[in-house]
Amino acid sequence: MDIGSRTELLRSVGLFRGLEREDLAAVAEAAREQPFSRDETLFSQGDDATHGFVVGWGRIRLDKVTPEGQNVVLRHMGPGDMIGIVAVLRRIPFPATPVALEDGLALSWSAGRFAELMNRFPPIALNAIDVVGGRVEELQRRLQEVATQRVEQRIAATLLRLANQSGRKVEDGIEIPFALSRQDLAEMTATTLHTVSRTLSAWDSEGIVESRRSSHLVIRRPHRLAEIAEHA
Amino acid sequence: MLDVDFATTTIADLLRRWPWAARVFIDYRMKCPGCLLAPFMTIHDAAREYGVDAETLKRDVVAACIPERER
Repeated sequence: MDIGSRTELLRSVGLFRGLEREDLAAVAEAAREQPFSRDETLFSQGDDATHGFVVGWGRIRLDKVTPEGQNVVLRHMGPGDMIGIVAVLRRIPFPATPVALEDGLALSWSAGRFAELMNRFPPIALNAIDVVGGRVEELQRRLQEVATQRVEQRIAATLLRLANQSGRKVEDGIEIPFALSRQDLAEMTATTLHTVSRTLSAWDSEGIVESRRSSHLVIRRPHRLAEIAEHA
Repeated sequence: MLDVDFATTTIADLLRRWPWAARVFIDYRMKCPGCLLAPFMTIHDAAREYGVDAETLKRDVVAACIPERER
């Protein structure tokens, strides 16, 4: 990867927003290239955060192992995504393990080099606050989901079963082709009408399901609904 | 070559015809095998949802579906 393409890549990375082209080129020049092959890990959860990474190309899955030994997929990442940078900035061990889903290449900077770049280019430090803040927001959202999930999970699972048995593929999703009232759903999921209404309204505004004519439900984002049924 | 049109074949159909292809999805940490909505999703839909490269996934599925002697 030449400096030009590295610079182009870094332009789309939040941490380097607001940097002039020649500054970006300096950041790009300070990077080391780290090719990775499928199934390889860039580092392991618990390792010292000696380097931060930006994905150049290839896709990566971020895994976290719980103290009980259960593996949790935190997120999938691709070109332009940052890996391990929060740990580098906070000087804590890497909290998760990035596993390559395909061959690719990452750019990396040592912790020391990062500190140097931040001193030289103050926007990086400001952007870092933004990045960390974004992660906090994401965690708050997930915490809220966890606190309210059990009924949602049941409702989602019920819709999946109904779709599986009776669903009809329509242009923008999967339709449950008969009238299904919120009261019906409340009874099928052992919850209250109020809870079903609140849940379906929330899903409606997130574009996950949509209530159509004569109370036909359309699942607009099947994958998301399956995720809700399973955990999120 | 595998006789399948990935653009129209649902994952449920795919897994019915080639049950052992489930292994590939499991390797990708995709939850399509056993998913109640697999009858409505193509491999392209699934690849998009999981952020997986569709071409790579298809290549791996094809490789898993073709018996050893025909490869």
